[in-house]
Amino acid sequence: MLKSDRFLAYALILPVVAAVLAFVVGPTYNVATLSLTQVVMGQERGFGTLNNFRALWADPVFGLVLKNTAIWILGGTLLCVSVGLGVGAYLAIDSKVTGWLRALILLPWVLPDVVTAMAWKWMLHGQVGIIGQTLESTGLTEGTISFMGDPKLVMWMLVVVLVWRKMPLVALILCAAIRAVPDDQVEAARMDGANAVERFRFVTLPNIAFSLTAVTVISMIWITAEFALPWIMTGGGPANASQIMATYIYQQSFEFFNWGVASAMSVINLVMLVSIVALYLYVNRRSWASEASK
Amino acid sequence: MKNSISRRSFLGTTTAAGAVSMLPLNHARAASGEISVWKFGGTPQEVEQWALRNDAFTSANPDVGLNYSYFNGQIRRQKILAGFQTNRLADVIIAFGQDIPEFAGFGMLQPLDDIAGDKIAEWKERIVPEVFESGMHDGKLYALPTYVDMASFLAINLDAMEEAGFDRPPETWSELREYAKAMTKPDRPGLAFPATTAPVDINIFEGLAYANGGRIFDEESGKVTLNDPGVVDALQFYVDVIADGSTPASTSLTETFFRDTAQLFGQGRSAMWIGLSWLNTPWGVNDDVRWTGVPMPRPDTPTGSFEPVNAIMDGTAMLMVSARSENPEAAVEYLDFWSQDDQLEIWGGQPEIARIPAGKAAWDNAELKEAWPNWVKSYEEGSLFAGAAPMPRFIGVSAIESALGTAIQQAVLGQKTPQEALDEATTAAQAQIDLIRG
Amino acid sequence: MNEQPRTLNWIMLGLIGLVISIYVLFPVFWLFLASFKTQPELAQLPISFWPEAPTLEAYKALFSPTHQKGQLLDWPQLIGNSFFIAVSSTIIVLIFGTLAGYAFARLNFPGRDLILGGLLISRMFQGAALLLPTYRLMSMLGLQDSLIGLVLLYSAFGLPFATWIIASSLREIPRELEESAMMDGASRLQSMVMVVLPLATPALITAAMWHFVGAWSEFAFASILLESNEHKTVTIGLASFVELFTLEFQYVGAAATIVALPIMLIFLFGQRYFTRGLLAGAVKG
Repeated sequence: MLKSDRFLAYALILPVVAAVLAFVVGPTYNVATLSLTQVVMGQERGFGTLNNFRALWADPVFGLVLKNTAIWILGGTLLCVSVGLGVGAYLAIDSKVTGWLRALILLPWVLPDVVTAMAWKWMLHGQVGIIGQTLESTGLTEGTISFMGDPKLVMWMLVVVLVWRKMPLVALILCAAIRAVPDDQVEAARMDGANAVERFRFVTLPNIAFSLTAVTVISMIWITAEFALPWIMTGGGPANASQIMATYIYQQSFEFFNWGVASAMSVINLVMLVSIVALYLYVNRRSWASEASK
Repeated sequence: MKNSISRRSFLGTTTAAGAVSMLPLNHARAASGEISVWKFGGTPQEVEQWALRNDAFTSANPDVGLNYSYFNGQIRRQKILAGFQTNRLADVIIAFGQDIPEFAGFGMLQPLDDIAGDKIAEWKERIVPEVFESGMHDGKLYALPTYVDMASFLAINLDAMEEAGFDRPPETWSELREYAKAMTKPDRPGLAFPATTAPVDINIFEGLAYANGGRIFDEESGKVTLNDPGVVDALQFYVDVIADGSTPASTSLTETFFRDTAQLFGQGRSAMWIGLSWLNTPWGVNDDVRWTGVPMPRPDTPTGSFEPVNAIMDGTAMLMVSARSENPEAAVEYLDFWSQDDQLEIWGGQPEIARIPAGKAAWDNAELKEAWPNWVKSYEEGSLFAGAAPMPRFIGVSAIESALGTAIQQAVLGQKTPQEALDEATTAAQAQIDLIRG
Repeated sequence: MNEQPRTLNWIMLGLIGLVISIYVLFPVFWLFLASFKTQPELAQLPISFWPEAPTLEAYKALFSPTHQKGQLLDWPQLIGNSFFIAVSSTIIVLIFGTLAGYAFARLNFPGRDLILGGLLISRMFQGAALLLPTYRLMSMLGLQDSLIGLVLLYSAFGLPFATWIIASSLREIPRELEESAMMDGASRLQSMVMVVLPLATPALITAAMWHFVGAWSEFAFASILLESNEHKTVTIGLASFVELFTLEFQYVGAAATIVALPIMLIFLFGQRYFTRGLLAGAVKG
């Protein structure tokens, strides 16, 4: 029984593992070897060099890229989850409005990146954008603001758009989790005289702790893979103020044809993120892995 | 893929038939076999015409199976690179003149001299020599141009100019500064120029720098020359007009690329703007805005270490034959088809008015004269291309242009002086280019 | 006695709802409005909020063969292709994700947790850097410019996450149900199909919707792998409205509306299951 189980199990997971090995791990391995290869004039010349990594180290833009990437991934994740938590708590309230909103809120998620990036870029533009014009005509700002042209604002505007795109799903997951909190616990807290904020803090939050950490990782994975949004909206500008790993990798490989360095950067990117997530998964192994460990 | 051709022929039958009848009927030794063609982006008119003329090509060359693929202009370099790395490059690729040294240097292209033979002499007869030259690299012909764009030009709102008391367009940078200041009103800046990371915006600046005797790279020494006085002083000009208060806010310049700048000018939202030769043609101008386009004013005294040029130019639909083409005869036949007057006339003001045509015959078109009287006049006088150079092209050009783009934005935003920004850009770009060139 | 605070609460809640709605829905609404405007109206300043003379021209143009600017981008065909890719890869992901999810949830085998963790982490191996190697791989397999190729690729991208969601939800289903079916003489697979799967429907729907949306809106790989017009997808069609020289938001808006519509319908129908499935997958406690 046990032995046949084992064979059955391997047979069942084989297609998934094979597909991931072939289409994901294979190309990744390719990138890893390329990062150790000298690429000159578009030709691969000689494996076994750290020149690509050295070049990155010497590149003054790379430091800025690391800083921006930290804002993008950490800031983006943090805002995604906290705004998602707020919206999720709101959606968990029973009413007609929230019912509709629960369905409509997914709209940002279903439109392709290409479209949302273009639409936001257009709306945020200082001279032809509806947002600037509305702010000005309602007297909230004096003159319009060039959101995407100001190096101090641009990274945060990108995060706002990112949150817009990724937050709805986070909110729905957390909404579902909040609604699953046992009523008797909430009721008991109310009896004890806890107000709404206290009930949320001491009853709801502990109950949804796992979901919170789960969506944190999911958001982080999403945001890492996100490329079209920043690339279409700013192309890394102005003055590299919104240059992040994803866009810089793209620029190095396809604009500069410098794919040795691009690969080195991908490897660094991957190692950093995988270690964060692997650590997370290890710490939380009880909740996602075998039920035997329960 | 076969399918797409027959469907296209079916849908475009009438137009194709019309186009065929205009073809010269001297196809004695027809090429045969399959060829694939990749085209990237273009103005709407061009994209439409290109597909229609392809039908005419297939009708005239029934033995050639044409696999024509159109791609979004943004993925040009990655698609060509991917095709090259997998030995699946199309026989004919239609790309930018600025791409030629890299594509040729990487071994993606074959010189047309080796395969086109006597046809080249015929092409030379039909194409304006200076434009034809833009397909050359290292003394060999690599691409057949269909048109070029030139940098840089100035669009002027005539009402604003006259209102400010001027009766002729500015001719020098200091005049332009003076004009821009005088033409500035509270809600309408005198001069706008695009300064985003878009390559066209960088080309526009390069037009100024080259006119000032600047270059971005010295092929002889392999040195990046972004901090040449010619480039630094051109950037200083940008910084000066901003300091004069004659432009939109600097953060607006760094977010508004050429198309939006053109739109704002067309609506009377700025009195002048610096652009490429097409200025406002693809987007139009409000009926109540009277305007003209003139060559960009010159520096008072060029300060660069190189020869000042009048303009720089490049084509963005140049036909090249891939080094791995298995059917160069048919590929050359396709190029030859596009060298015919009937095809090159697409850019003769009708239907496409945004470009500077490559075909000599296209310059006789009445539509072109009507749209661009100044251009045609100076072409006929032989001065349009006088002192014009190709846009920067060498292996690693994108890396340097990108560093330049960053420096422009830093200076425009006031983060650094032009000198500081360009010094740093020079160091960064030199490291990049040494890496790419090995 | 607390009549007043209650009304106040509702007003507060209504206001919060309004703010959320504006943030989330306005950009979508703005595109939707643009689809009824004309090109001159879109370019004019100051910007007009409502369409001055609402027109369906953009929608008509999208579906008329004369529009396609010589590229012959045939919108019914683009939609058909995207639909084919999204539906086929969703089916593949569901079938193999369920099989693997079952193994991870129910069977004991060496390396189980490690493999599941590895699969999850592989989700991060994406992005611009993989474009070229993936293109090389696909072309080696003869799968460039092929809808089947994209179906396989997207399936490989989608499988880990689907497996995870399904495995998490299967774990919540009591083993006893299955065991009693097996006592009655059903084989393991029979009991899985007859007893376990019906209970896992919300998770399956969640995985399906999740994957469908991803496959429906993918652009980077599609744009580089597909060459012939009759293989192109809706995202490529959408991007073709944003060329360097043209930006026609009435078409972007119209096309986006058409692209979003089927997905919204699926969501309105499946929303209940979707949230429940997410609950099973990502919610414990």
